[in-house]
Amino acid sequence: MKGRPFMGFFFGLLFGLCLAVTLVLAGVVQLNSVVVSALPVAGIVYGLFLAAVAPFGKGGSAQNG
Amino acid sequence: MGRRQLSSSVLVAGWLVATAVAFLALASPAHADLTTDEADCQGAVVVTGEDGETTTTITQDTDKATVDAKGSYEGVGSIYGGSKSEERSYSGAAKIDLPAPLPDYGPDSWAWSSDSSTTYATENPKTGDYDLPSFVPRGFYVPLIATHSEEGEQVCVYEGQIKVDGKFTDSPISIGFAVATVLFGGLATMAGLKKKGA
Repeated sequence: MKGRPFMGFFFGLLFGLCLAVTLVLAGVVQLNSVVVSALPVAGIVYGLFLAAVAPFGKGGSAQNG
Repeated sequence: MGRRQLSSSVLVAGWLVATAVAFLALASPAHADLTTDEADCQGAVVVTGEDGETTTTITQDTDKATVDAKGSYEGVGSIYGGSKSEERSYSGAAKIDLPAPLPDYGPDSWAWSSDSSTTYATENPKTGDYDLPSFVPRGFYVPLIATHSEEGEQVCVYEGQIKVDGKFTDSPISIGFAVATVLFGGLATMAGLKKKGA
């Protein structure tokens, strides 16, 4: 894994939590919906997935080259 | 990974999250009114708004209700007790149903109980005033659950939804969460950047 899994986990979790709260406050999903519990997990999956498919772009290769 | 692969990866990840959210949203719980009624359960809460004239009445048949951010309330309730006249215990409470693993929210003033009652209807209405601070988010429904038990056995369960009048943008907390979502979403996406030295 060439990406940043810890960063993906941590900020993915915060992303999912904040997205869940925002959707509730906007009235898109209900407060007791399973979506509210699932989104933080989805955020972690999102962050780890991006870390797994990294790296993006060619910046890293240029630094090593 | 090239720019095209990057776009594809982000799109795939976004699609996965969006699909999961849409699927789970469809599976969210439905709301009824009285989901348990073993004793001809009756209840009514009249909420009077700040102007003293606007009233909202929530009964056992109400599915959704909107109330002002400031006002007063008066609640009564009754059940069918048959011909019984001996003393018995009862208890009940109203709560906001929060998602697991959070506990439900309900202050003590929203609960009622007695260890030796012979009546089956509220003798003195439960009254009170409330004033929500301006920072409290509003404009969205929250699930409200009220239960009543007789001698430890649950005989009434009400499930409805209540909303404080207002908009998403009325509260700085709501706006703050929207900004934080964008910020953390960007930082989570940066997890796909190559580690230094990797």
